[in-house]
Amino acid sequence: MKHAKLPLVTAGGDWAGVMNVHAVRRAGNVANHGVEQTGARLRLARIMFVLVFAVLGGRLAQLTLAEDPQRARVGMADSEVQVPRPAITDRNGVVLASQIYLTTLGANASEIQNGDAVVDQLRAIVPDMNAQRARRLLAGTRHYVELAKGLTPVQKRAVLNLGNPGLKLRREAQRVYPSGSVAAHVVGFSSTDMQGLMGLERRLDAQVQMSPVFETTLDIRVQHAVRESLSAAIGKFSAKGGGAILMDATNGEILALVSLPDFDINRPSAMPISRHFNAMTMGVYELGSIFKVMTAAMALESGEVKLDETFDTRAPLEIGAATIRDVHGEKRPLTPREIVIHSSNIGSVQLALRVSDVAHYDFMEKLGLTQRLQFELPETGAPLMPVRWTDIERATTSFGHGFSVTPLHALVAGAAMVNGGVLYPPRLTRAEVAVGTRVISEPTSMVLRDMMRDVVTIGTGKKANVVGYDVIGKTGSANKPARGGYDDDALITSFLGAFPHSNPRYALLVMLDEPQGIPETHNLTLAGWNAAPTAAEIIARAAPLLGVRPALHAPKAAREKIAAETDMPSLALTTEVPHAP
Amino acid sequence: MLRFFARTDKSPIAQWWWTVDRWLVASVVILIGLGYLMAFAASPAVAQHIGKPIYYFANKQLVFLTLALGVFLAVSMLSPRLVRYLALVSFIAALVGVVATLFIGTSAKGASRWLMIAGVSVQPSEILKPAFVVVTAQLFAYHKTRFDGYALICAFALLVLCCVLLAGQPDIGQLTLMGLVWMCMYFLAGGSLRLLSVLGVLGIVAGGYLYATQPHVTSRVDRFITPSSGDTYQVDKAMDAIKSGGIVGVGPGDGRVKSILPDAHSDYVFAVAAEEGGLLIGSFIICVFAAIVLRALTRLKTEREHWIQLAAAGLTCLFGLQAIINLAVNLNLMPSKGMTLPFISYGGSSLLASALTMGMLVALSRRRSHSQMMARPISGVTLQAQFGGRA
Repeated sequence: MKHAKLPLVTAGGDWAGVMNVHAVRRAGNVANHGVEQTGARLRLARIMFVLVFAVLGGRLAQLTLAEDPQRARVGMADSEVQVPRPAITDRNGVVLASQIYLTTLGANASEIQNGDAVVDQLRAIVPDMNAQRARRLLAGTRHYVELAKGLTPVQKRAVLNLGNPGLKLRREAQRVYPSGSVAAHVVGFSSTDMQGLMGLERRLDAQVQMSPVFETTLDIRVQHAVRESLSAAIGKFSAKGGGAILMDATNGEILALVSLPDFDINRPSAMPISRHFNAMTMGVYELGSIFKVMTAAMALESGEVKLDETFDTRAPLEIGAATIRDVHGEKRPLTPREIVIHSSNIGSVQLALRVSDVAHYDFMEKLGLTQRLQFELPETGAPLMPVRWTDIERATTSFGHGFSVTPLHALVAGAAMVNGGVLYPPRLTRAEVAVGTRVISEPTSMVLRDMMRDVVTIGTGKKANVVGYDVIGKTGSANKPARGGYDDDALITSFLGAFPHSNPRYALLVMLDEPQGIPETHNLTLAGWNAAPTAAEIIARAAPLLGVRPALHAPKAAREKIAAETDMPSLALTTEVPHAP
Repeated sequence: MLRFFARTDKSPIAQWWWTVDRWLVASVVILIGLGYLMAFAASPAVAQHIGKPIYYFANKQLVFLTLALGVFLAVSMLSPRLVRYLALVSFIAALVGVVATLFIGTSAKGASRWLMIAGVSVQPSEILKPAFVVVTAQLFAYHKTRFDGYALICAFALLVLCCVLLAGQPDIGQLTLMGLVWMCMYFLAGGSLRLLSVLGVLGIVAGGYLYATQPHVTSRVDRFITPSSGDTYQVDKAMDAIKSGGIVGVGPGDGRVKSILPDAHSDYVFAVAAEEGGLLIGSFIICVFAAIVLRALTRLKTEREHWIQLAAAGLTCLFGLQAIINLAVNLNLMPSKGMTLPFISYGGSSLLASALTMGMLVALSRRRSHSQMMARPISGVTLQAQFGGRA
């Protein structure tokens, strides 16, 4: 029989026929033909199976070999914090936040049959374990019950030696903050599962590349001094709270940032949550007269106002429906310098209205007062600028009312006024090169320094002076906004300062929330009586720590006299006496 | 070495020993051994997870595994003729069972696939698969040897019938597997490639229809293609588990995935094995499956009986494809699909079905003497064909 005669041999298709030429030729009968054809196709099936199994094996190898096994640990991966969080230090390497590893003793209650006996064994190892609670938990069937925290390595080994598979030991990381509440709002804190919840701790979560140490610009000594002085002032003036920031005016590095009241970041929930509020970077306030410095800078910088020009401040100023009055009331024509020294509202308004409304707003924008600050702390507040920008808004803005910014905004802008005219964004990480933007010219900045020095020597800020450090500054007392207007009794007082006068290196802002009058201040509550002396105290303590040398200028005649009397000619020549340690 | 029995011993066991493919039997026994191991490795954690006694699944699985070993050995001793009867009987029984699930089945996870028989829940569709393969193989062989178009139509009708019943449960995984195995067998039987491509296209169209109409199919496929589009929890955890295994694994009992995944003891048992045993155990499992499939297919080279050849090849494909699909899902090469890993996954029905599959495969692949073949012609057709006769 020839295969050509078989009518249905090609039922398998042409290709099948080709594949089986040999088979068909050899086959003596139909059945063998089918078997041969199947045999040939089985070869293809074998090849396919080999390929597919090879792919599966390759994929398994790819998965198991490519990844670091520890990284993919199931269950562990859920918390996603396998990389240890970096330690946070101050600029001198003092540790502000670090982590320690604790051993936690737990148990799978359903794997433990004789709970009471186990508890007795454990009590011998961990004496401070709550035995009653442990017995109750082990009697249940929960798969994980926590029995004791913070086991020592010796205790851990003893528990392991019990050899009870139902007992579970876990290594748990815990953040510790040696600085306690000193830098609470800057350092912030993490949850027990290592999620940053506030401050730099929260900021670290967003960090992709984690170096083992996160060095901040804080100087914990200065921070401590600032906090202590401020805390004393708050107590003395029975203020609701307050804050202070000390910044390097030449690059924007924050050396101290205190917001009071604060809390112990090791036990964040022990205090009311309102204490977590960072008033310095998140709270926005109408800070008042300290902005007269900026208004003067704007007026002088615009060229519309000359330094020797005078402005009539005798009569209250009518703008639209509002009347602008002066608190201190010099009742005479004042130069721009005198406007700042005596803190004249009427004068400031006149200075501001000399420039166009667009230029005025642009200047505010240039100083960063209209935008949320870019800062390392997640807690930043957005300024509240007036919705309209007519003369009345511009008038109130000129003396620091009708718009709210964070105290940090004011400090950053203020530092730019006195450091030679360059605005440096605030920063908590150290920078190789400080990059700032010029906002006013250097000569204008020089003039402002002198004005602010006069505020401290003959104006409203006399109590801010510290002998030897030539403090410059400006006071601000603002009524707190209240329903339908302002609260006459509640003040936010502030002092925006810098030192030393000749070349300001450090800028400082002190703010007190509702300070009360005391006999010493003749029951007055203005900034000159509380914020200014607080600033003085802070500078007196911080400046030596910062290595600023005091310059003691005795009158030349007196020095010559002393030199002659004591027969010490060197004294007559010395203009700068090193501070005695 | 393997001289437990004399060559001349004519007892059934000795006969079996000398004719059986001992490598194949050894591989299956290894798989069952792995099944014992995994029953203790994976299922206690799952039992604990759902609040059952710790060895709830393990104890049940031990009984099933022992039963499966018995079924496997018993079935492997059958003659081809008895295999045919067994397949036919179990096919009819399973078919009835599947129909019954549609009316009186107990449901779990949104599908009614189980029947309660004497206090044991049975999944008839598992038994249906191997029986279907053997029955269909005979129809194909009949078709090829007798040029009987009706046999082919019958084979196709059986496939359609089974598919409709499985779609009713619904059990898309088994349906797909059955369709694939049918196509493999048709291809091996020398089927028309043109028809095969038409069927392939039909299959793709059917898949598209399921994707468009069945929400759970849609979501599974979507999640596979774009993992961000939905919850890929099980697959992600399985991936993490396999990755964490590394080369030698995290060690027996130290795996974590089993206490997290609800299907750790069934569909994702391979991930548990790979986590605890690493590349070493994982590739060993893959190698055992590959060895069984290739050994069985290679052995068919010498088989001269067409229906046996087709049935054995079909059973091998069924076994191999099921393992491949499960492994591919575990290795995230396929959308997730409820498919067990033969002998290793938890599940009584699946185990018995695997035992039946491999038992019949071993039975069919046993060496037979020429005289045996001639003495017991399995059908008139074959006889006629062998003598060159024409119907």
